[in-house]
Amino acid sequence: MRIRRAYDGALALALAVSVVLFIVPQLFFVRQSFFESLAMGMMGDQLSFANYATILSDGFYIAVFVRTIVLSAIAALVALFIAYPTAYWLARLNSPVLRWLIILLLVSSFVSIVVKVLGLSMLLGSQGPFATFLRFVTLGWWSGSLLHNELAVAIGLVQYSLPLLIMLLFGVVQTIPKSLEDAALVHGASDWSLLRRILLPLSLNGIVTAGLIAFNMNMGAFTSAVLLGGGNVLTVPVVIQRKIVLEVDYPVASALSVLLTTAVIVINLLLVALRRGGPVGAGQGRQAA
Amino acid sequence: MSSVSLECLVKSYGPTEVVKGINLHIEEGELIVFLGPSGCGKTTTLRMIAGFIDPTSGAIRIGGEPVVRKPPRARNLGMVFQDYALFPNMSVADNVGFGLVERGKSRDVVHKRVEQMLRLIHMEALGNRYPIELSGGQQQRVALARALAYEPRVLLMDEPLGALDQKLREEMQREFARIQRDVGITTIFVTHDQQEAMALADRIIVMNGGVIEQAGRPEELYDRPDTLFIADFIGRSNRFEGKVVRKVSDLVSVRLSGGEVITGQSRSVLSVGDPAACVVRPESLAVGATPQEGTNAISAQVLRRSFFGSGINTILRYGENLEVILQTPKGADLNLQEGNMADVRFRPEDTFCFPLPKAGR
Amino acid sequence: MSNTSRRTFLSGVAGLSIAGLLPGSTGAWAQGNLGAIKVATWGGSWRDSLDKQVGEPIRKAGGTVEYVVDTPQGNLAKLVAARGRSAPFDTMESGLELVQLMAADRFIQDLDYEKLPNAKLLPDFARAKNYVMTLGSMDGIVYNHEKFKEAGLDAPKTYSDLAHPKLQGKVAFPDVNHTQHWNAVAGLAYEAGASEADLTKAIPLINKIKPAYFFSSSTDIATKMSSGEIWAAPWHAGFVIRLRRSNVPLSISYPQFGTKRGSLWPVLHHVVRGTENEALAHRFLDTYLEPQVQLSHAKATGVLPVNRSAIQELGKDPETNGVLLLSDAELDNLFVIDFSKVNLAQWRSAWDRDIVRG
Repeated sequence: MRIRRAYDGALALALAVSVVLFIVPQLFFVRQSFFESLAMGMMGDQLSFANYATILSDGFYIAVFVRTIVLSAIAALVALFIAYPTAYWLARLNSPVLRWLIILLLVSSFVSIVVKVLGLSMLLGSQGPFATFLRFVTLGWWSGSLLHNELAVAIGLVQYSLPLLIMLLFGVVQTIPKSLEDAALVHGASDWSLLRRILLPLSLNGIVTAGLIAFNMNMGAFTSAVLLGGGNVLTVPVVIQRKIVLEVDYPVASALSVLLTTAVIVINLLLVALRRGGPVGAGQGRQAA
Repeated sequence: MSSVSLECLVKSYGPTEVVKGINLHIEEGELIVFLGPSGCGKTTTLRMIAGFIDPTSGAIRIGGEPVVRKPPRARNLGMVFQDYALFPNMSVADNVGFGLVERGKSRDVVHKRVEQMLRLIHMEALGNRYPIELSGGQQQRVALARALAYEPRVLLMDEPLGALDQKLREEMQREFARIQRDVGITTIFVTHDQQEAMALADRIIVMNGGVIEQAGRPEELYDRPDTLFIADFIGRSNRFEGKVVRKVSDLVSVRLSGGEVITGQSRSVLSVGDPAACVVRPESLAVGATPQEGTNAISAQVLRRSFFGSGINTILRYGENLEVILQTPKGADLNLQEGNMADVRFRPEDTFCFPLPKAGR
Repeated sequence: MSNTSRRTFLSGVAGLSIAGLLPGSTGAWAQGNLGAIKVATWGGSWRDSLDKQVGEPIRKAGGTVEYVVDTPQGNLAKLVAARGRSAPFDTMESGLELVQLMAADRFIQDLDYEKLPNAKLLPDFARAKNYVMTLGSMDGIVYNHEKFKEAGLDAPKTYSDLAHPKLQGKVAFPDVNHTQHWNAVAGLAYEAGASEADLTKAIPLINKIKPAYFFSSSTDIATKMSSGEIWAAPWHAGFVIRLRRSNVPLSISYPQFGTKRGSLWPVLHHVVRGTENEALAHRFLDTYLEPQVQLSHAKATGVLPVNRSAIQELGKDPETNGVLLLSDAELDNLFVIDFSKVNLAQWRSAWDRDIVRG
């Protein structure tokens, strides 16, 4: 039952991150979300679902939620696609350089998101290398900027979650003995077959956990959405911030954040349920036997 | 089933040579054991044959075909690993069928062959189990079945029994010997355990420091060691050191620290005055009151005796601190008292002398 | 602008009674220990100049001044969040869009003009019950005249000119939480034939401009203007003056608002209710209103002082030439938004929903 338990532990970790990031600071918001807003942070004294009804019946808010979820999911997937090969490479790197690479990774994950975003906005801006290159190859026909849109926000989300994902998946790959790869290769597996039949099934629990953590982080990401979206990308955290700062409407902001939390938890639980019922993976055989 | 040839095989990591030019021909169906202490290059050699490591120079031929730079999957070899390396996400049957599926065999073929292999390892009923549910011995048998299922040309075994306890180990050695004989596959087995090597091998290749010290049948190595290393490494032996005082053809006489002169055989280059070590197997020693002409004799003090089932070991002390072991069959009454002095005798035919590195080197 | 409701009147009485208790203790403070205050204001070069012109003399007199840097909106949110607890700062700069809200909710106290002798030099309209207008920004279209010249574009005359195809991707627009948002959308409402009473008429024009992005902080747009990433944005003249010092080739043009031309955004200063250092808060504000301080701060930041003599002095500064509108006729013809006509909630909702983004 060892693998099963390790898997449950990993899922519990994902859940714990969600709890800390979303639920704890919001406990008192939950209460607020059931009162009517009387402007300027004042609230009525009648409990009601009016705020939820307002949000859920408004196409604008629904669109904001859909945008946030899709953006978070895509960014998490892209981050996984980049992080897994990197983590694999690091885990199999038999070199003294490895320690320095890990330190570099750790340091980079501690860099403030504002600094990271600033770097990205220089990179993606119209004076940056990508825009300059695109201008050059299109002979000046394209003269825009890669900033201030959903792509820029997604890139920012990927950049922010990448070091963490690489470190998580590094740990996952390290638990797969190198001899399993040798065994697969010597018994006739191609590289693709090795990935599909051995590495991915054995990493799947870790990948799902890491992906969920990235997704959860993305759902709550504010700085990337504001600074790289340049007011063009309204995600749930951005709208919540506007509700609080511009309109000082705590109840609706609270209801939004409760709904955000709920969405995150529901999506996490759905994926976990899907994994348990899924056909592949080291843990599944245990139940079948 | 194929022969394997290693020709001037060298592997170095930077300035360090791990394998220093190995030449070896392995016949079809032969069971070869690479034996040696850790770091002797035996595992590196095996991994070069498997294709996990590229040799720095030299050639490897399997069935006459050069395989260097070919990926492992193109070499059609079977391999059993020390940690079994069973795929934990697959059932026993899927593990055994892995190589067949990778070779694009149809479902039916895979199924039939897997059943056949499970019968071979006496695990017909356990095909649906997962590796984690099996004992160490069962896992090892599955690993063997997986390696043999697709009828590879050569079977490689990298210390496959290292993780098992002594009893299970011996059982598995017998089981493995049976299966290997049934299948008749060319096998290269790596171990650091000389008893295991003795029990299994058609031929033992003893490696030390990246070179082959001696290759031969187990009894050849035991009875006629080529080097001091082999004599020390294979089986137990008593070792007496001194200086050569006489040399007549391949017989040398060596004066020991206590003044006794013993005679033994030497196939090495030894001259009068050279430091030398003479080794004698414990079972070649005897104690007796009456000296015989032409027999080596030393005087040693009886320290203790220990019973080991089929015989008795007597430990004696020669000189200041050299322990001498004497092995006699059970029931042979030597009439030895602890603390007493005894005359230990052994024949020159059972004594092998080798040069020692000169002092100061 | 000052809408004296019964509530604010009552709060004024309450404020007075508290003030009446204070002088004894105020007098007890020795020179050289004026205590500390926090001032809520904008960040960047504005805060730096404010600290040099006003903070420095206060420090010399023995007081301590710290700053809480945010947009007025953000600072108000901090006040709201601290409701029922001690105020997060003692004085605060704000704008027309907030003053009614804050007064109605009693976040700010009535000013004690006895303690603001310099306020006497101000015109009447600058002295309200619970705020003083310290300065005003001159809002218009800030543009990079070199980039315009390279692209063969004329100087923009109206906000709608920013919709020119050659400016696609080069225009930024102040987001709803930015101070210069209001005159820009009011200008577009006028260009659409409406007024600040119906800002939603500006929406189609903004969508036609399709700004590359919406900026929330002047530091951010200043960086992008300097790098040449953005060529034009509704903003204020102060940054033309400030960025020209770093050789950024910026100019400003002042669109028409009906018969008016150019727009003024008054900078208001409040004393926060619940301040524990009312004396120093007033002293800070009074220092702010000194004619010489007004002139220096205005020169440094490129804004308009309220004091007319300071305005005349400012006109002699070559930096203001062609950037600020400083003649009496021009000043009298500046547009000032009547915020009592603005439907704030409706506008914020429309801004979130009806602006085409991305």
